Amino acid sequence: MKIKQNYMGKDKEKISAWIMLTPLIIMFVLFSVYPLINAIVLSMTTYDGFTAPKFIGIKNYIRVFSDTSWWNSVLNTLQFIVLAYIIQVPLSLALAVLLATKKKAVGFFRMVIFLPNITSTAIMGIIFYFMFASFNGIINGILMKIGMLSAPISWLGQPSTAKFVIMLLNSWSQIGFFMILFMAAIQKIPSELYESAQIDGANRWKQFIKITLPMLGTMFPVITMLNILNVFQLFDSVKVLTGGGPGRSTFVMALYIYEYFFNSTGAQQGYASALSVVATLISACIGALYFVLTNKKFSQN
Amino acid sequence: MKKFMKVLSMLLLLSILSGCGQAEVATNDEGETNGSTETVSDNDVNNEETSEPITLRMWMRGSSKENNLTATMDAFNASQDRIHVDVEVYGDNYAEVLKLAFNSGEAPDIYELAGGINMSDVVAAGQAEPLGDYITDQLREDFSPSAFSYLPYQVDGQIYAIPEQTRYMRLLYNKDLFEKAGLDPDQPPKTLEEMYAYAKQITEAGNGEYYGFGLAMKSGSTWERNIDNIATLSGLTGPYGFDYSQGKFDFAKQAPIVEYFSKMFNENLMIPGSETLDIEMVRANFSTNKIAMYVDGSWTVNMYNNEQKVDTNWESALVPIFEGEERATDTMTLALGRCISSDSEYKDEAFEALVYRFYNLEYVMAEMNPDNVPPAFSLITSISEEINAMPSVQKQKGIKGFTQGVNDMAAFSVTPHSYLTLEGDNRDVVYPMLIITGENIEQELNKLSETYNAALDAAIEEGKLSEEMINPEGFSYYNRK
Repeated sequence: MKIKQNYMGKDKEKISAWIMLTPLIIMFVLFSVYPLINAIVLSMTTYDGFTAPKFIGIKNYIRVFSDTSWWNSVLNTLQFIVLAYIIQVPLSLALAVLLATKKKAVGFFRMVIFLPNITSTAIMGIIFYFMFASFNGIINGILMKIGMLSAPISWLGQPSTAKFVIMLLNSWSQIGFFMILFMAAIQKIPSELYESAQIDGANRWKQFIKITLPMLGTMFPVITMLNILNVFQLFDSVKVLTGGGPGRSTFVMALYIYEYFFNSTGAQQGYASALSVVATLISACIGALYFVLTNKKFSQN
Repeated sequence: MKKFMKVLSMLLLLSILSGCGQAEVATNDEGETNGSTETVSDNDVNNEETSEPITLRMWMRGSSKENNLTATMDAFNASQDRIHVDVEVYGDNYAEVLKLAFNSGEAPDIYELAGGINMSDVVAAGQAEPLGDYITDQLREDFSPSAFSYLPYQVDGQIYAIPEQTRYMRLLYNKDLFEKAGLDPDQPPKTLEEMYAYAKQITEAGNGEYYGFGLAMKSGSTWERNIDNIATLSGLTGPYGFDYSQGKFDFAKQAPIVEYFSKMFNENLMIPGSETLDIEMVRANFSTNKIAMYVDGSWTVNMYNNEQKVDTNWESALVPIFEGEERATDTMTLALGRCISSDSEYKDEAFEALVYRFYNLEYVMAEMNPDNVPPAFSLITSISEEINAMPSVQKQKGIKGFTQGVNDMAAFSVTPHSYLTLEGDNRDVVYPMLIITGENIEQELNKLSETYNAALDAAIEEGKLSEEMINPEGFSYYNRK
């Protein structure tokens, strides 16, 4: 009898859980599942945004595989992922360690570092554009004044330097966010560990290597995943700074899809949908690969 | 639990069904069914009872709300009390907003073809009203005949849009910078060789302060303004490397012009960072005496003199071509085709508003700037002639080149590139790299021709273009009409 009552109670709990979940499920279906299915349907058509889509089977997908410019933008995106990881994770960790103390003025620095994260990328992009302009740009001006440059550099006009500026803007705006995540994890580490380490005579560096880093272990996969996903969606900073140029040299996946969907003549919306399906698959594959690799590592540990 | 799942799925089904139901109501509103009739009768009642004017929505691309279109329609609204036109300006987002409006059945009564909106697509989507029956004999008499014979605004022989203006390109140059560099400010370059030499002389004299030439390599339209324009004037190709004498794309014919600009770029005769500048930035640098020469359109006379009121001492001249070449017929485009939505409830009134605009635009502009009357580029020839003969037009800065050779210009009646669905890189992303690197120019141009010609074949197969359209009989770049 008792058992049954318990069971009934669990059932009720489940019902209330489902009821509470329903709005979310509806939203999820409306704004995630439906658009996804729609994109898959559109990807098998030729569609110009005006007239009814025409079914053409997998032709768009065949085209994706022979589109070298697309694969070039995939490559650019992967490059940015690696770069972003190398730059942003160590830097945000260092800042978090430095600012996770209770000293005065720390709050001010935290705010300054976090502020770019809540500033509009479009505005920051325009400011960066003027800073790195070849003619009358601030950066060129400073470098020439202190004698490091004899002639202005076309920062945004060459593929390599343009990528550097894009990465700089992206890192500047993202580091604050990752820093906060790291700080939250650091604050969870029991202070007794540090105290006993201090008694044992460990210096700050040793404490960092032996306590902070291992204890942060679980935070790394989260931040890595966020970082990868974030760069997969890289769009606004590239759009504002270079527009993908010069030529197609700084195009990333999201911008490439956008250009085909909104900025091209002819019936390209079907093709753009196919591209976005492929982009989703690429992101999913890399995400899955990452999970497989890290899961193995963690279970071994 | 099972019961609950049943209830839940019923709930979900219900919500989906009700969603569909709502969608159905919406489609009814879009179509000419119950929903829309109701609105008509509502409005009619209103008209009778309170004599409220009919409100028409007119959309344009434009760049600011304070423009001549707004001013002209304000004048129209004031001239009578039956119709009120609300003008909406959307700038760079125009095409996207218009497509969305079409798809959701919210199309404005009057709209313009701009920002890459293609007549044939709009007609295929059933969004444009054929205007043939509205065009009176009077209009046919007053307008330049090209206005009603312009093929890009026709589908299956029916006229769906009426162009408002002609547009064409000239070389703009800064007289002060010419003088500073020791050049005669009244002798603009006549050949491309001269333009190169002048650019060099000016850049050297500028010593990092000002430069010879401006090329807005971030704006796609820059290749039409510069390279296509010179190619047409040299009898090589039309817009986007399309060769009307062969009926196909042949970008390789533009190779010497691409090489010419690449040389200028790599010898630093252009303002630094040209590869990242769009046309607005080139204009800003031109008007602040940083760029001595660049190519821009007929509307700049009004833009610099009235809208931006710049102090720059500038003038315009014919776009130069290579030495020893015969000058072919200059290109103009017919622009700002105005359409009426096939869903509009008040098509007659919309056309009435359009006609007012065609006949009054130039006068409203003249009234807005009595001291600086902008030159008229109206397709109503008598208006253009009357306005352009006014002394206050003649004294405008920059007017010289724009009044030269005006009677010897022609529009290409078909621009095939605008009908294509390309499978590969378009010209606008390939040209910047060619200019910057200066390498493999011929090879890359041939690749472009392949991409464009494949799309051209597909467009012909789909019936969007016909052989007669792309290969006109007896075509010659030297006597186009």
